[in-house]
Amino acid sequence: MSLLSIKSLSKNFGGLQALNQITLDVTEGSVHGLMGANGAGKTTLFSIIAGNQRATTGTILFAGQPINGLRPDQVCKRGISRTFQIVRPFAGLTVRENVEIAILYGRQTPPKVSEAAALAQDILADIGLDALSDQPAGSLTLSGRKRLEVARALGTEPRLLMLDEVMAGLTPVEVTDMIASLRRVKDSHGLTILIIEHVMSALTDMSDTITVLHHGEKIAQGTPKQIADNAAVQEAYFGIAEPLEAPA
Amino acid sequence: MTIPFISTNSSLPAVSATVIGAVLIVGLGVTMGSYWTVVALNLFMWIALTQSWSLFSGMTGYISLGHVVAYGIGAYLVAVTFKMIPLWLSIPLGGLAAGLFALIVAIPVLRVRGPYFVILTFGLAELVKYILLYTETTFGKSSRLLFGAPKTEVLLYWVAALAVIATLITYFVGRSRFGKGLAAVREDETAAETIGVPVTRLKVLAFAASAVIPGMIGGLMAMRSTYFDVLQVFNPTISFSIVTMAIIGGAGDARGPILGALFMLGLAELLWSTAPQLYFILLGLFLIGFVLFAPNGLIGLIKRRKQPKGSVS
Ligand SMILES: Nc1ncnc2c1ncn2[C@@H]1O[C@H](COP(=O)(O)OP(=O)(O)OP(=O)(O)O)[C@@H](O)[C@H]1O
Ligand SMILES: [Mg+2]
Repeated sequence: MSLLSIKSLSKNFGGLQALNQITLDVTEGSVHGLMGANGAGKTTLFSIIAGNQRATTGTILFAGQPINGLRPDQVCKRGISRTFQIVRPFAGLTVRENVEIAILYGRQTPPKVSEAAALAQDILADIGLDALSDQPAGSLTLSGRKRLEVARALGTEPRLLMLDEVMAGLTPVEVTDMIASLRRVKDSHGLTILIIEHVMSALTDMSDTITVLHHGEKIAQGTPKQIADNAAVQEAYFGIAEPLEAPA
Repeated sequence: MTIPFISTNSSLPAVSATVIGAVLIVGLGVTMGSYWTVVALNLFMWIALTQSWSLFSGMTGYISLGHVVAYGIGAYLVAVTFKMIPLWLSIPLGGLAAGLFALIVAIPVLRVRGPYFVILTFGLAELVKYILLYTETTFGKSSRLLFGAPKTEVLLYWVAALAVIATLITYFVGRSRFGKGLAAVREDETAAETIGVPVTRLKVLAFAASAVIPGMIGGLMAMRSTYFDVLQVFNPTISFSIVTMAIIGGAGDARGPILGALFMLGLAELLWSTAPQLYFILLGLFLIGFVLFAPNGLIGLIKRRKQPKGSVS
C-alpha cells in the first residue's frame, strides 16, 4: 500500500521548470531512494511535500488524504517530517531543547512539558547524540548537526521520514554509523523513509526502490540493481551509456 | 495552584522572591516620603513595560520600537472615560483595547522581520499618535485635565502589582510549551514550522499579550500626571527607553528587565538632577558597550560568571 502518492506534480520558479509532471508512490514501510544530479529538483520535491513550498500543479495524497496547500506545521502533525540539506538547527538552544520542541509541537498528542526532556534524551541516544544534549546546537560539528536534523525530525513522531542528504560531508565511518542508526530507528518506530543521497553506496545499501530525477523529470525507477543497469541513468549521470558497478 | 504544562514546585523560590522584593520596595517607597514613592512608581512602571516587551520581543527576536502605542492607547481610553466609568474598570479596559489593537495589526505587521519590523512598529506608533492628535484638536481637546485622580500611593500599588504580574508571566511563559515555541520562532521560523510549530499563531498571540499590561500602565500613568496630552503618552522616548533597558538588562530571562530598569533608574537618580548631559552620554556609552560586548545584558554577564570554569559554550 502506498503511504505517499504524488500525481503529476510540477513546480516552476519563474521560467525554470524545477519539477515536471512527477508521479511517485512510496510504499508504506519501505525505504525509497531519490537520486539525481545537482539541480534535479530533489530538495524542491521535499519542500513541496512538507508544505514549505507550493506546487504549481499536481496533487499529493498522504495516507489517502490530500495534503496540498496545508501549512508545514499541519503537514507535520499528519505524520510527515523532513530534514534540511542545508542544516537549520536552533543554534542558540541546546541540542536537547531542539528535540524537545519537536516533541512538544510536532506530535498529534503532545506529552507534558515535564516529560519532553526525557523523551528527547531517548531519541538523542538512538542516533548517538546523547552525550552532547546540553551543548548549544550551534557548537556541533557538521556530523552532529546532520544527526540533530534527524533527531528533531524523529521527535515529531513521523510516519514518513524524509532525509535530504544527511550523509553528505560525513566521513566513511560516520556514514556507516548513520546507516546503522537509521536502520535501528526505522525498525523501532515502524517508519517509511524517503531518502535523497549522493553517496551512492549508502543509497543502494538502504533503498528498496530508487527513483531517479533529471532536470525535474522522473527518468527511471526500480530496484537498486535495475537502476545501476539503467542506460538512461548512465546517460544522465555520466553522459555515457556504460553500466555502473552493480551493487553488492 | 496548578498551571497546565509547567511544574510549579521548582518555581516557588523565584515567585516568592519576586513578590517579597516588590512588597519591600513598595513599603520603602511609601514610608520614605513622596519623592521615593515616585521613584518606586517609576521603577515598577519600567519593569512592567520592559517585562511585557520582553514577552514578545525578547522571546521572538522581533524588536518592537513602537511599544508606546499600547501605553498611549490605554492612557487615551482611561482619559476619555475618566469620571464616566470607574477606574477599576477603565484601566483593565485600556489594557484590553491595547491588546485588541495589537491583535488587529499583528497579521500585517508580523509579515516583516529584522530592521523592517523595527521601522514599521515605530512608524505605526507615530501614525496612531498623529491620528489621535488630529482627532483631539478637531474636537478642541488637545489636552484633558484629570482632576480627582487617585493618590500616588494608590497608583503605586496598582503599578507594582502589574510589574509583579508581568514578571511572573515572562517567567512562566519562558518555561512553558508556548515559550519554547517562541524560542523556536526566534531561532529559525522555517525550521520551527516544519517541526509543527504554528508560527503565525504564536507570534500573534505573544504580540497581543505583550500589549495588555503596557495599556494598563498607560492608563495608570495618565492618572499620575493629572492631565492628558497625546504627545506625552505617545512619546517615542518611552519605546526607546524600554528597548534600552531590555538591552542593558538582557531579554529572554525574567530577571533581565528588572536589572535593566534598576540600572537605568539608578543612573538617572545619580545624574539626572546634577548632570543631565552626562546622564545621556553615559547612557549612550553603556548602550553601545552592551550591544557590542554583552549582547545578553547584565543577566548574561551574571550567568557567564556562574558557569563552571573551562566549560565550553
Ligand atoms: N526558491 C527557488 N527559487 C528559484 N529557483 C529555485 C529555488 N529553489 C530551487 N531552485 C532551482 O530549482 C532547481 C532544483 O533545485 P533543487 O534544490 O530542488 O535541486 P536538488 O536536486 O536538491 O539539487 P542538489 O543535489 O544540489 O541538492 C535548481 O535549478 C535550483 O536552482
Ligand atoms: Mg538538494
